[in-house]
Amino acid sequence: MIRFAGLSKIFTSGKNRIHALQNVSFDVPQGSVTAVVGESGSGKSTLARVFTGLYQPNGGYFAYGHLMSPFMSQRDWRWLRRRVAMVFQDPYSSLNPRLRIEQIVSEPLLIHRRKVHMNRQQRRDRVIEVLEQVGLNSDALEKYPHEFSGGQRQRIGIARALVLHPEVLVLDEPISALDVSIQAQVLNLLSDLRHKENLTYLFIAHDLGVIEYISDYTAVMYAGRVVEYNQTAELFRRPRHPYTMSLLDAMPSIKKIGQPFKALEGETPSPIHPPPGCPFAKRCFRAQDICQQEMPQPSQNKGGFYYCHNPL
Amino acid sequence: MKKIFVLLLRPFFSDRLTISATLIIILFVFTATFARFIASPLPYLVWNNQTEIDIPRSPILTAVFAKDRNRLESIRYRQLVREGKLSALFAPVPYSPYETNLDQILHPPSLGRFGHYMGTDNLGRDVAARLIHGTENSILVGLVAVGIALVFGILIGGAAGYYGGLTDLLLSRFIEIVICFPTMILIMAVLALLKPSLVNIMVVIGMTGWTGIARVIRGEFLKRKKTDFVTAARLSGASHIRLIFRHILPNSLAPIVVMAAFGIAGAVLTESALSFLGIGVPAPEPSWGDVLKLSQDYPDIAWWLTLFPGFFIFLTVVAFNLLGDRLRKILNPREQ
Repeated sequence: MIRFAGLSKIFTSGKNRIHALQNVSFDVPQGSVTAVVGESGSGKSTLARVFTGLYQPNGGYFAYGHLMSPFMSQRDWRWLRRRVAMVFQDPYSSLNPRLRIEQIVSEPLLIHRRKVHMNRQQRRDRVIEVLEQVGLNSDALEKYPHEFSGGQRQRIGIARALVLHPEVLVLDEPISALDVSIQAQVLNLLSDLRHKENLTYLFIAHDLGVIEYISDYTAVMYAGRVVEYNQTAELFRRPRHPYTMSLLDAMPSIKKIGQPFKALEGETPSPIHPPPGCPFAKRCFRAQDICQQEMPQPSQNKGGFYYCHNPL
Repeated sequence: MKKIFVLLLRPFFSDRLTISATLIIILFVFTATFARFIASPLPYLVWNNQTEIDIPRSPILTAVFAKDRNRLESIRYRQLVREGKLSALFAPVPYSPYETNLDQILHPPSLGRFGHYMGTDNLGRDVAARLIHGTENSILVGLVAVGIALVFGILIGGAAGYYGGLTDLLLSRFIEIVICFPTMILIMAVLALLKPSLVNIMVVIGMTGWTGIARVIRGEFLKRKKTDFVTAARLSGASHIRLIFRHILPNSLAPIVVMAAFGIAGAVLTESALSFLGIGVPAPEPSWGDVLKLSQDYPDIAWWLTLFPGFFIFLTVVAFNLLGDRLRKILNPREQ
């Protein structure tokens, strides 16, 4: 299980302090797909980057296995790096254009050769094995990334992530840069792999349809905070936070043909001067006076939680 | 390899100017490499030897390997041929760059057998032979100086761009300080302190020419280190060395290739300027700027001392600039 506890991240640019994450706490149960959803700038990618060690959190911690983030040595990080892999959003920029596919996919094996103990032939066999797992054949080995389509490149990115037999995949919007026809293929692939390889996914997305399809748990983020977290089925059936509701309302659906979309008015609060109260208060259709002044306390809700003074 | 040809070489050779530039560069490199076979008083072939002297069949080849090289070089082949005691096939320019002839000072260009195609200088040395042998020094200075500049530029610019923060701040200021020195004065000062030898000139030109490369490399590294594939490698646990040399540097080389081409042109020009000022490649050694320097003393009578070295320098600089320009266009897809 991955546990995020009170994580906060502040970026400083000049005199400005940008609050990218504020008090983010939720769990990613072992073997689950836990989605993080939110609009751009809500901090979902920052969360992924804190968990993978690209950013140092300013407060709070995450825990995985026997490790807790503030107390991790170089060796612990290497231990984590073998068990946590990441798949990126843009399949065009995530593969080094100067390397052959074999070099790209086998790189983690080479970096961790002291723990992996594979010779050249064994590495090659392992690369062929993962490439086949993601639906590519060994012809790909000698090719360069530019010879592949977006969908194929994303498969190569997934193969690179799988090559060390990780326990957790961090998927940063893995399908949102792909053509719609390819999205389903990659999504099905991810769904298969998860069961075969016994993986835990931290799945970052902004598309609720995708989340409904693949995820077991969902955390909804808004302006750097988790506003609601629950099992995906429960969250979709009965959202408690008005922001979750607005997201669901804005979801295109075949049942809603002819109805206008309910678009949210206004903008997200400035991350430089976050409001004292609920960040969503200014756009919320259920906002009361207290919402502007005081951050709501978490309320329990059937295994999940939400932060709202006036829930649905 | 096939891909490289299609992507790089085909657009490269689709342009006549670029082909000409490449041919000129190949020609100069060839001249530099084989100068001693192009301009030499030693004949290629000798037959009909009616003298008492022991002359091998091919003096020019024998001189390369044999121990009695000095003896072979001291034989006055042209004299013997003129007197009819020997038949020989000579190199295109049958003179040595060092051979002085005080009977033939400042002769204008003349054609024919044993003619001075580009005239003679104030010591009666054949200008064509001096320019051909000078090619080696000039091209060598260009290549080695740019090589040195590349090493320094990549190391300093790379460190600034990769590590960022305070390192970047300090290194960037250092680069700016070096840029602020008037290059030519600095080179002259250093060469005045050290001896102006070929090696010193290469090092000095290289040490002052790395700043532009460093700045470009810094920018490239700043940009590349944030790309997803570098992040991916970092997340796999890649070391700094691996990130830099396997992921960032190979993807930052395009503008560097271009700068190197321009840099070679610049270095050749600087070397000529130094020789022109009299602190270039030291005295008996030929170089293009060295011949050009002599023209200062005889501007009215010896036009050939200005024209021919000037033309050689002009050709090289234009060829490398054309090459650099073309490479820039090929390597930057937006300009295509």
